[in-house]
Amino acid sequence: MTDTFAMPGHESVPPVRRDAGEPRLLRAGPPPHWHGAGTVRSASWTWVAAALVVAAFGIVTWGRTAVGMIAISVATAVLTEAVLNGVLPRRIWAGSGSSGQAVLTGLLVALTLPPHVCLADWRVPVVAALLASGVGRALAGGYGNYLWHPVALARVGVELLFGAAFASQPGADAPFSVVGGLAALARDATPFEQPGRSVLTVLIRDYMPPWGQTLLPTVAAPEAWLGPLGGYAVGLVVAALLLVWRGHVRRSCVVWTMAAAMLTAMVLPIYEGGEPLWFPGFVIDAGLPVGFVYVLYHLTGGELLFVVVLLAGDSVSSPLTSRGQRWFGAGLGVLTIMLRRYGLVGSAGFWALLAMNTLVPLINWRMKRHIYGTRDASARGRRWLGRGRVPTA
Amino acid sequence: MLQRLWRGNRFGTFRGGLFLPEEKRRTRDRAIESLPAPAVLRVPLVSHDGLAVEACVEPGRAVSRGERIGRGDHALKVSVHSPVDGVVRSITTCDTPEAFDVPCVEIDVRGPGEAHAAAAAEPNSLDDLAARVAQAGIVAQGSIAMGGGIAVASRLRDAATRRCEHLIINAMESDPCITSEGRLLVERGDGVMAGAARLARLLAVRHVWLAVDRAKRSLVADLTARAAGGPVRVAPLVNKYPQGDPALLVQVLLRREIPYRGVDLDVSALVLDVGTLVAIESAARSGEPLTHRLATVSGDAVERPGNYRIPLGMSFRDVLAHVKPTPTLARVIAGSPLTGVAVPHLDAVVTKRTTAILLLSRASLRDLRTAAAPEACTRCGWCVDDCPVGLDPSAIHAAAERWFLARAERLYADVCIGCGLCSYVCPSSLPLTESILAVQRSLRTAAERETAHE
Repeated sequence: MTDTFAMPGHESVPPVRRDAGEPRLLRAGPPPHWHGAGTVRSASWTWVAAALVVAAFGIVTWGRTAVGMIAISVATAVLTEAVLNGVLPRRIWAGSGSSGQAVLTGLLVALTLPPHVCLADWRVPVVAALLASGVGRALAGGYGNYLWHPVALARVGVELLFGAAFASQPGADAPFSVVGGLAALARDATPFEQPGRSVLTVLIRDYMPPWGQTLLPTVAAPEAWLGPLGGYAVGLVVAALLLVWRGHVRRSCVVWTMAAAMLTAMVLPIYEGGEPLWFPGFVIDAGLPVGFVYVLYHLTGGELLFVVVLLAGDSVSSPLTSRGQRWFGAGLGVLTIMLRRYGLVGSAGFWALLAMNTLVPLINWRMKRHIYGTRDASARGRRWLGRGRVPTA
Repeated sequence: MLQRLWRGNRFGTFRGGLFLPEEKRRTRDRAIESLPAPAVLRVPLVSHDGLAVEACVEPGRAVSRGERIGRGDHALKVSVHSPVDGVVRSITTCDTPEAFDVPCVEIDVRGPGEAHAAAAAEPNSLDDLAARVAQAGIVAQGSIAMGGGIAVASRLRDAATRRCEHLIINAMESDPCITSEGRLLVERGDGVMAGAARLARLLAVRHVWLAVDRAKRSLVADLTARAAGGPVRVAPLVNKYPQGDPALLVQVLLRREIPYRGVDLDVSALVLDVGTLVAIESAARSGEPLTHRLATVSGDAVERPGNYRIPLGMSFRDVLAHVKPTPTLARVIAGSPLTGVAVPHLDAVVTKRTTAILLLSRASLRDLRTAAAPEACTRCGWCVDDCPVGLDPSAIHAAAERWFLARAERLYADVCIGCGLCSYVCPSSLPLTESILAVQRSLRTAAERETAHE
């Protein structure tokens, strides 16, 4: 007994005989017939898992405030995405609901906001999530097309829109805030000046909380507030390891950012009595390596580590090649420290990231990989038929 | 450099590429077997790139094994010979994995016939050898993406007219699942060495390299012992896919790059795979034509995997009858999982370009595109990082989607070797390789038109 069948996609082929019991073959697709394990869906949920590690530290530290803020932000992002997918003529993100991109956006937005801002004005996370999903992504052309990281854009946007709420943040202007305290050294070191002592020694010994608290917050009190994102360093390191292991963040980007930030912090001068003191990272006072501790504060406090791990590695807004990622990371590290020290903006890391995002097309253009066989430009003019280097005749 | 010295890897490797799951365990230790010819063969009269070959027999005529049935009269067209003793039933058409409605000679098989065993005089020049190879209808035996299917005689004639310093024998077998050439080395290692020595003498090359996977330690040791005192130098290389591509072999072994739109002879090297070398050696020694195809039959949906010599023109249905597919069979692939062609139906026939036959179940298919539509490019850069020749496949794909051929050409789409890695790693399931190869075909057609116009 036989019957006939035609392969879908090969309708021009005459029907062929198929014996009884013979398996029906699948659609004859093009190669490759294998596919790597990575999918957009799995990548999105890996990012969500990494962000959740950091969120867990936040929840432990800030309790219900953090939970509420994350819930509001995620709900807003998911709703925004769902509405835009229904309204816009082209879906801004194919399969966004399942791929977890909306959840990720909401989660990252929540992690960039200080909990006290949410307490001061509940609209902040809502507007931030709207800005990230609606403006940062949908209006920028959808996933895969935006230039600036939507979350960084939203963070900067709400800081400009809700300046009062951010100013109400306890400790934001206090000298013991890591970012505030370190930035003050560039402008006015008067509060820390003591006769016979380096301002770094005074700052670190008398004003700053112990450096260990920038790694893992142990006291959930306003006095321990280390800046918008201080205190999650351990969580961020775990998240970084997960993302690098899964291949979603290139280790070159993380390493070069941190190395560049470290070198910049070590070199850029601080001011003592109006006089610049170069290479503060090498200052040793009374046998204590205060300069080194100062650099460690820069690396683990503030938003730098968060930006490096969870935002800068975003594939859409970062360079394509590993070489480009190195330059991108180096620029991000240098800019962050420079903006902290000499800038007038509050969230140096986010501004630095947006600035580097702007340079990504340039980096991509300049940092192309060498294409096989094109080293000799004079060979280009030859008009060989066939498929390149593999001989056809 | 230090790392290479520490690991004893003096040749290093190329940028990009991936270590793929090999999946060779089922067939690598199985000796080469010959499949019996079925009752009817439909031998395709087709050469490289689908060029039809003119039939030189008529219906009703009795043919013997090794007798020429298709006449090649062009550099790209090779002669076709009967794999069996039989009677020509008709000159008709058949489907192959690569093309539909290909002219073919339908033969009623009377018997397997005697293998061509007449001893021939030693070829005294490269032209003489090229003539014998042309008569034997030998094409490159590697996978299509690695330059397989190309007429070898024309390459030898090219080599005769140009300076050739290096002869590289490609035994890397970097494609997953394929083990036939490895078996050839194990079973006919002396023949390979003799063939390489003969070719080296005729080509007057300075160096003969035998590139082997350095992970196959016993094979490397065995070949090194066999090569002792001869001109062949065994080069154990890191088997990162697609190291078996001729361009990458030249890059790794000779530290040179074949120039853009050039060929291996532009850098004074000739790359041949082991299967081709064995076929050349047979043609040189006894004038034996290429009538069978050595192919690995593997996959998770086959009960009798192995390395088989399959008569040309045997239908996949007949092959499957011998190797016993399991009920879970979902797709038959002619070639490797990354570059092979899905067989559209089982009446398609085996050609000189069929390097392997993979029988895969749906579970092992790992082809997400059968279920998921391509998503937007996330610019992850994996395709750029893994591309062995440094292309930006996503940019070429974007240009191809809008049919911006000039832009795709500026992005060097024609440098692509078609290894399929970009599509393999793409998390958005974009058909990157497919797009690039389509662009290549268009550029080629445009160039041919331009040449014809001039």
